[in-house]
Amino acid sequence: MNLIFITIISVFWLVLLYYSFLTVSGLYYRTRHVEKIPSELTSYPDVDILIPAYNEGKVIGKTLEAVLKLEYPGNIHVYVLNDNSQDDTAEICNAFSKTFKNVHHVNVPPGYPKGKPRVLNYGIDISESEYIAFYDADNQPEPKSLKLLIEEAVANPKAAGAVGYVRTINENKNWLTRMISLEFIVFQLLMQCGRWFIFKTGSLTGTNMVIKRAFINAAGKYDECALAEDAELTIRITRNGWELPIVPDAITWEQEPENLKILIKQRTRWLQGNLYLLEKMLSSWQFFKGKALVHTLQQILVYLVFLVFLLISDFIFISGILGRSNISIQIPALMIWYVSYLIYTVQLFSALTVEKNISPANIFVGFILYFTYAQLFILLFFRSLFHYLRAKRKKAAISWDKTIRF
Amino acid sequence: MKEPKRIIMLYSLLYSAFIATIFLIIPSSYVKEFLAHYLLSIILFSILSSQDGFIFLIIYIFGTAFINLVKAFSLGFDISLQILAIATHISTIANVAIAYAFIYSIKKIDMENSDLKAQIKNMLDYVGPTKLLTKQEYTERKTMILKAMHRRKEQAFEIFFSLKNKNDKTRDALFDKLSYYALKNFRNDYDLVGKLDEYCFAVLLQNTNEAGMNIALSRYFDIVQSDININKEDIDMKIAAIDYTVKAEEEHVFI
Repeated sequence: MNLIFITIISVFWLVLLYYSFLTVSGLYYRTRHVEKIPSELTSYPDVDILIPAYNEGKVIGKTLEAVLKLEYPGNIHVYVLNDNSQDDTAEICNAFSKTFKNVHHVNVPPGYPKGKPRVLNYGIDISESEYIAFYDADNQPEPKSLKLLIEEAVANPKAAGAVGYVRTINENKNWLTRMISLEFIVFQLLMQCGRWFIFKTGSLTGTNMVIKRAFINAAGKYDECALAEDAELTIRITRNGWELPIVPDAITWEQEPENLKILIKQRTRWLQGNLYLLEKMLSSWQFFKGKALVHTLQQILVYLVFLVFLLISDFIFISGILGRSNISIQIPALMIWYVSYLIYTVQLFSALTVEKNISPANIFVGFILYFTYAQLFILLFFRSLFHYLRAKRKKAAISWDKTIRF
Repeated sequence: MKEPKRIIMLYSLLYSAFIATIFLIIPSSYVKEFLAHYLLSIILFSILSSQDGFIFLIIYIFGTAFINLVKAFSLGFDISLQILAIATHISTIANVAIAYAFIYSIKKIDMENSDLKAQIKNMLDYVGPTKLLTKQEYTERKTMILKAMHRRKEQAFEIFFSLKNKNDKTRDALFDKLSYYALKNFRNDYDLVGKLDEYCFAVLLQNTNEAGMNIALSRYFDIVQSDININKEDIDMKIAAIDYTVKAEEEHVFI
């Protein structure tokens, strides 16, 4: 029992050190990236922008307005890939495509499996530019974002594309959106900037990213069965030895769920997608080679180790507070918990500071996030595991739940 | 928060946190060590840039936390010692963090002032980042230009573009594109492009005759039509001629 506990504590230490190192590396990259932005290109490649849309009437107009404001020196064509929407998405898209010559409203033929990857693959097939940009239908990219992404992708010969930052447009709506926003900026500081700085590995985020057509075709396009299709494609791109640089100054603003029910549905889908990916990774040694190992270990760390640690940290917090433990070795339980909490909270504040997003409300949320939002992960994990295993037992495809817009 | 208020608040916080830490929170045996940490941090913050100072602060917080954790493991801290160590650590990092905020607030004050001045000027002159003149700036510059034209006995044209009757769904995007091309096409050292209201902008073409105006307008529509499915007739457009060539008084006629 003691040996198991010592092993767990040792891994816990390593993980704490790893996350501290990631934070510092992310901060270093983020604060210095401005100086490293590649200079302007002599000519800019053609870019096709793909926007998958299913019942996006509430948001698609603003998205198209923002996309049309992109300041890109080359040719761009915008393809709204309408996946048989039932609302007024088609009407809005038609109005735009009639007015703007580079906006194309495309009705995607019905097909199976349902969901974003199939729609995107259809968009990749019908478009023809050298680079493809992807934006979700609720996004409002900043005017310079596409130009910065392309400059980075072209400047790096190993780059399959480039990935920008996603910020929350409705952050101030309520406490939940504030927490989601914090989660996003921390993810981008650690998992994107930090990992890119240390390992030269970035992850596709599904929106505000560009990929060179030749690379996405060579990688085999999107896996249409994957719910976390971007994470899955990231691994294949990385396995081929290509890179996905992170461009923190290329920013898009995205709408996030405004109530818990919708968040739980969205995150259950994401987690099921990640469980699918985890299963795929654990079934082949190919995922443990080269830089793909970084993503595989990260996947294991987040979806297995993190869960165990979250449960353990809850346990040692309570046992530390009570001053008792049934384990015979002397462990400073409260101190361990304090250091974990400190690292978690300092990561949040670091991310808030570099994104110039410090406010009294965000500081308060930063302090309570561990006790509230982070604990939600336990519920989400077991909910997703239940749905995933049930779908596997029934040999049914995991359903694609559309995130409701506001 | 206004900068002086923020500085005063940070100074009060810095002072009270320091006094509370020394006299109320940390044990007397730790005071010397605390003072060494505090002074060293202040010296480093004074030397380092804002980014490097922040990275140092984070490394300091993580580093001291890990040192405390190692001590707690190796010396087998009981619950009361752990609580004391945590309280000491929190108060130390809080003091260092406040010192960071205070020092860099002072360092930044000049830089922020000049940035704010530039931003205010930009907001007064242009509509956000678009470089489109605001109505007020457009009117002021137009008045000055007209005075000079009057003196030189020149002719000019003012063209008003309105999208009030256009399709609601695409109107904002269309306005952005049309005004963007107007800035690109017309605006040089002589012409003005200004936003008059939500869906209306105006272009002042100075020192040109009707033929020149027609050429400029036709060039503008060529560029617009390469990107947008729109005809000249689709836009509610009014052209006013301003002619000082014949009479001494201003002639402002809609054509």
